Parts: sequence; C-alpha cells; structure tokens
Amino acid sequence: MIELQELVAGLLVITGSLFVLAGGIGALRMPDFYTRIHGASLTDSLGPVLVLGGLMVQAGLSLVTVKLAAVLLFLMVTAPTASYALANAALLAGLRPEGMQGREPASAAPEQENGS
Amino acid sequence: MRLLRLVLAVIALFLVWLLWGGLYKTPVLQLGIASCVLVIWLTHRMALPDQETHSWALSYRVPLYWFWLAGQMVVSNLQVLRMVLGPLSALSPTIVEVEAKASSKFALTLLGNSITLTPGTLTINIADNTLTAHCLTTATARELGEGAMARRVAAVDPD
Repeated sequence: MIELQELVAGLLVITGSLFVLAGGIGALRMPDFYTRIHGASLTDSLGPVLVLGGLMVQAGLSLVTVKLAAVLLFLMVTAPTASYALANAALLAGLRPEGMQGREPASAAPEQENGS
Repeated sequence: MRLLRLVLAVIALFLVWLLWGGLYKTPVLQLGIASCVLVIWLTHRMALPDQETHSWALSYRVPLYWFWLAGQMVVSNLQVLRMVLGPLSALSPTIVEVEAKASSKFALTLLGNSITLTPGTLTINIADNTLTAHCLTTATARELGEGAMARRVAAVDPD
C-alpha cells in the first residue's frame, strides 16, 4: 500500500516535471513573443498541478496536503493573472500580434496631446 | 448586522489560521486570534474590498466549474505539448474576440483567467464585455469563439 502511494506520487511528480521542461523548451523554440507565452504557459498549468498533486499523494491525509492544496489554488489564480499582465502590457506598448495588424485594441491607451 | 459580519469574518479567518498552524498551544492560539482581529480591523479601516456582493451559490458552483476546467486543461496541455515538440509549421497564431455573457468583475476575471490558464489561448485585452484572446492555432481559436467557456462562466455567476 505504502509502495503504491510512493509509486503514484513519484510518477505524478516526474510527469509534472516533464511538462515544466516542455514549457522551457516551448519558450525557447516558439517564433515570437505571444507564442512564447503560450509555450511557457505549460509551466504554470498542468506542470504544478501534477507536481503538487504528487506531493499531496505522498503526504496523505494531513495538514500538509491542505497547505499544498492552498498553494495550488493561489497558483491557479495568480499565474494566469501574471500572464495576462505581461501580454496586455506588450499589447498596450504597441506590439501587435500576427493577425491584428492595423487594428486598435478596444481600450487603447489615451490619445496623446497635440504636438507632444 | 455590520458587527456580526465582522465577527463572522474573524471566525472564518481563524479557522483558516488553524489549518495553517497545526501547533495548538494556548499562547499561540491567543496570538492567532489577535492577528485575525488585527487583519479584519485593518481591512475594515481600508474599506477597500470590492463592494460587489456575491451569492453563496458561488461556493459550490465555482468548484464544480473547476472540475470542468481541469478537464479542458488536460486536453489543451497535451495539444500544446505536441505543438512545442513538433514542427513549428503547425502553428497558425490567430486573434479571436470572445463575448462575455456575464458582466460582473468576478465573472470577467474568471473567464479571462480560464482562457489564459488553458494553454494555447491567452487573454490579451478586456474592454467592456469583449475579451481579446490570442490563440496558437486557428482550430483552438474556432473552438474558443464558439463560446462554450463564456456560457459556463455565465452559468456560474449570472448577472
């Protein structure tokens, strides 16, 4: 029983690590800024879910599992928020993704004063 | 009524504190209660927490939504994994606009974050009720454009 628990935990952690590795590869291989964010997003979706899930299996029913679940919850809320902040900052700074040339984002930065 | 809500908030906070601690001795517990009261006093003084009210139904609808989202995450993670390791010619980056069907701040945040959390789609802008998303392929863009996610979010927190 204990061995099975350890085995499942180990498998989950290793699979999660592979997703994190793939996220790193993606961030390096992808052609432009926005697609790189997509590649790197593997690192903060299924990667931590599997790693922390594996640690929860290993910890069993205890306070540690509650804390790990809380960490996972906070990560699932903050990681996409950070990605959005990054992507939105790039968009507002004027980096147009492919397929959006010539179009203004719906809430563009306020127009500059004349002559500035 | 106002005082009752503050006391309930302190109690809720203290229950969470008990989960974090795991060390139940009288002086430690006293410090815990004191810190919970301090935190509630500070947030009350700031009066900053958003003034939108939320229904209690969210407390079970949101976890149910997470289960659906987890399934979506697994599928899209595997898709993006294949993109990352496969030939880059398979990419066809596209912009798609998603119309949110619920307009509370909570619902918009939930939808925007859900789109970003599933790899292959990324929220890049939110204006009024329209979310602009960047997609890795036209296929994922079409799927997102059909609006299944927006409908589910609207079911979680209807206006």
